[in-house]
Amino acid sequence: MKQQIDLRKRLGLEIFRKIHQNRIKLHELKTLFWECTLRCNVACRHCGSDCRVSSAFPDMPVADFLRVVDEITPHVNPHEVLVIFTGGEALVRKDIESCGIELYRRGFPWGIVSNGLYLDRKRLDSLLASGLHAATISLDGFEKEHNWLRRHPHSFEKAVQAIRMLAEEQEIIWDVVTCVNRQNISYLPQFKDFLVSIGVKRWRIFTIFPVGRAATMPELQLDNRQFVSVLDFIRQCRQEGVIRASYGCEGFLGNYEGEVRDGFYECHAGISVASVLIDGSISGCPSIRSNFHQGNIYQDHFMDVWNNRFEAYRDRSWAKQGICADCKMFRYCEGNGMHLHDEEKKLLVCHYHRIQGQTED
Amino acid sequence: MKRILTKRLRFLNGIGSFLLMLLGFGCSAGVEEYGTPYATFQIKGRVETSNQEGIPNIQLASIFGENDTCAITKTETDGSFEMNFSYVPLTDLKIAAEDVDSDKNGSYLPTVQEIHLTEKDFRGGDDNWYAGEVEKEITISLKEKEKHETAD
Repeated sequence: MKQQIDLRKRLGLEIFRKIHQNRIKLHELKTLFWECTLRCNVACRHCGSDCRVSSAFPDMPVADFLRVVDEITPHVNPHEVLVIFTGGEALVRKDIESCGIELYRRGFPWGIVSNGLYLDRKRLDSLLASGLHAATISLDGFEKEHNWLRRHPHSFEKAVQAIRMLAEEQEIIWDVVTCVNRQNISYLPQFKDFLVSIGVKRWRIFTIFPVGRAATMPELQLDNRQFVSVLDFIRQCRQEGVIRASYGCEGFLGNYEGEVRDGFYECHAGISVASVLIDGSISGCPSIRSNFHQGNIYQDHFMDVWNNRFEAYRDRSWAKQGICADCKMFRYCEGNGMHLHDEEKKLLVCHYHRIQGQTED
Repeated sequence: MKRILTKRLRFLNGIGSFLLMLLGFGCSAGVEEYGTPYATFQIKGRVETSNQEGIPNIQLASIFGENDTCAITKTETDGSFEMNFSYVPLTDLKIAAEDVDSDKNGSYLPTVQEIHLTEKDFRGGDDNWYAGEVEKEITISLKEKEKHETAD
């Protein structure tokens, strides 16, 4: 695919830039992540969840999180704020249902991100009875590659079992997330066919960013050519229309913008997405591991923090440094996702430059 | 002032989204509508005696399931009422009527009226989580308490 952005797309990007600026001014909360646990039932090679924090943090009591939800309620339309349980692995908590039913009663839609290991029929029925209507299951290739990445011998079997169950549920909105790496990139078309055969209709594809455990494992990183081939693959899937494939939310993708996702690139952290982390910290999305915390639920009122802080998220001029300093795409990209900056606010990876072939492997 | 600004920004974003659509691009905010379907309900009507006289100040509650109370109101001087609320689009709704003002307007036994909704009752839903609006008009008839039941 040619790299020059044509006039139509450039016009679209300029219009979207204005929309994005307005969204910043509005900063309407639309998604709230709750890092409900750091405990996990697997030890994924690429996990960024423990790169800075210890699993010694106890699970946050449901009541504490619901207090935050009640602080938010008067300021939002609950039906338009999605609450997502994440971790660790959310399903290691046996009381997720008790939180879920309380969210359901308050009118908040809620979902989980899960590796599927604990999602058997009994647990799914329990979650459904508590109002679950959304789920994301991770499946990172065929059995050998998936289990290699997840470091669990039954991980693939359980994840596929969970997916097959979800495919039969009429009321659930769900999708599968795949982290593409050097182990599974060679068979993406076959893997796509497999996903279709087990009932997957929505598929999000991520590439693994270099934080956490993944930072030390080159076999998890794609080179520039491989990265571009993933984007070409997603583009082709979308044109085929058999499965609704999308690239993950990160990265301005140059001429691939508008081709591999439903909208143009936008980092929603601190603009419409917030998270309550395991220790009560209030942050953007839970993929952010560096300290961009804005407050803590045990000292601050969540909506005060949401409305009056998050400056670094809403004014990204600080990111116009290093590789971004003279980049003409900064007006659309704003320095890439917040989660791709380290503690010194230095950018870890630029997707646009990777596509342009300007970054060294 | 903030409200006006919010409306203006949303309006401008709506125009921007339309222009993007004309250019052939989506404008997804990136948030999928996971989760809870919902509907809006308007339940109105009248509470009356067995002689069809309106009863004022009767408390009405809309209840789904075992005891999920969605809305509470009281009847007007002519016995009329209206409740507007949004909730999950369940189909078995109960309206509980209770005389809460002692015998100021007479004394009446509480009652629960069940409303069984069907898919046809939900109108104007979209393809996402909004199931539509339900409008129902009902009449609730209350029985007077026997005189020995009203004695304190």
